[in-house]
Amino acid sequence: MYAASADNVRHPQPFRAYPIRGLSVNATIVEAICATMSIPSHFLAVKIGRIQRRFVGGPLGANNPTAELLKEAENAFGNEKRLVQIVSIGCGVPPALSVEALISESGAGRLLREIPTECETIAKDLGTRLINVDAYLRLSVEKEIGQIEMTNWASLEEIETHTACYVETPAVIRALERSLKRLKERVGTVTVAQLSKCITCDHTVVPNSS
Amino acid sequence: MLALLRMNVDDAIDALISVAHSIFPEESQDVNNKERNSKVLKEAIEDLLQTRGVPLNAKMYEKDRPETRCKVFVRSLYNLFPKFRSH
Repeated sequence: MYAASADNVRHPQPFRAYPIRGLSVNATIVEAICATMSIPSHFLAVKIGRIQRRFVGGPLGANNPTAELLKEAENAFGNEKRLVQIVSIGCGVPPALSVEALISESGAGRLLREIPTECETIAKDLGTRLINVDAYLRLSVEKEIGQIEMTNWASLEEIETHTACYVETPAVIRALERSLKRLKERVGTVTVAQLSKCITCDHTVVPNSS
Repeated sequence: MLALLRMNVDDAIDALISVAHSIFPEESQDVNNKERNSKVLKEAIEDLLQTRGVPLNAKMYEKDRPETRCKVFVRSLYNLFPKFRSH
């Protein structure tokens, strides 16, 4: 989950449930959850901390936080720690959108299209870089889940139907079974440092984790 | 929800839908009232914490809280230069 500043210039700020070295804002649980959910089109910014910094949710530029997750893992566990499984969950293929529509659209409608688009772009890049790494599992319905507007958020049947079909496909069943087996065995095949290198290098050398 | 509030996946999904229902009731089309939405969101999260027996003023990190095996963080972005730019 992510939140963003209410203004234009953004800087990442994690709210952690564990201590690490350095300065860190220790928000209440209520503040942290509200901040990450408060998309600016529908909520006021959430003021947190002694100097009342303002945070909002649903920012662009901070979705699909796999790289940030690895940085946190390095801080919390060290870069030689072996990873058993990263599970990255997407929200389906973003709806196709014409350039004209993108220019004319604003507010929540645009946000709802741009967030999945950015998530999927990052996910595709990671999928290529980590193609041989079992420790990375990406789950995301491989088809467009209709046009969903803010006013019809409660229509969950369509999302549930597409998701059920997706998780019943043989490839996904196999991937989930392999993942479950790794989680039960708790044997990591790749270190935090190796994975970080994979996703940040221009010329990726992917360790074969099989 | 999974780590700090010790909920299982099904309970977390139900809670999320319940929070969303509170903020955006199906009969209401007035979804753009930011003050109302923010107030209802905060109340819904507070209700959730109360249901789970967690104090409303509990911090993300509490030194005296028994450590669990699950470490959790949520990422935020804040403004580096909020209101002091001269241009």
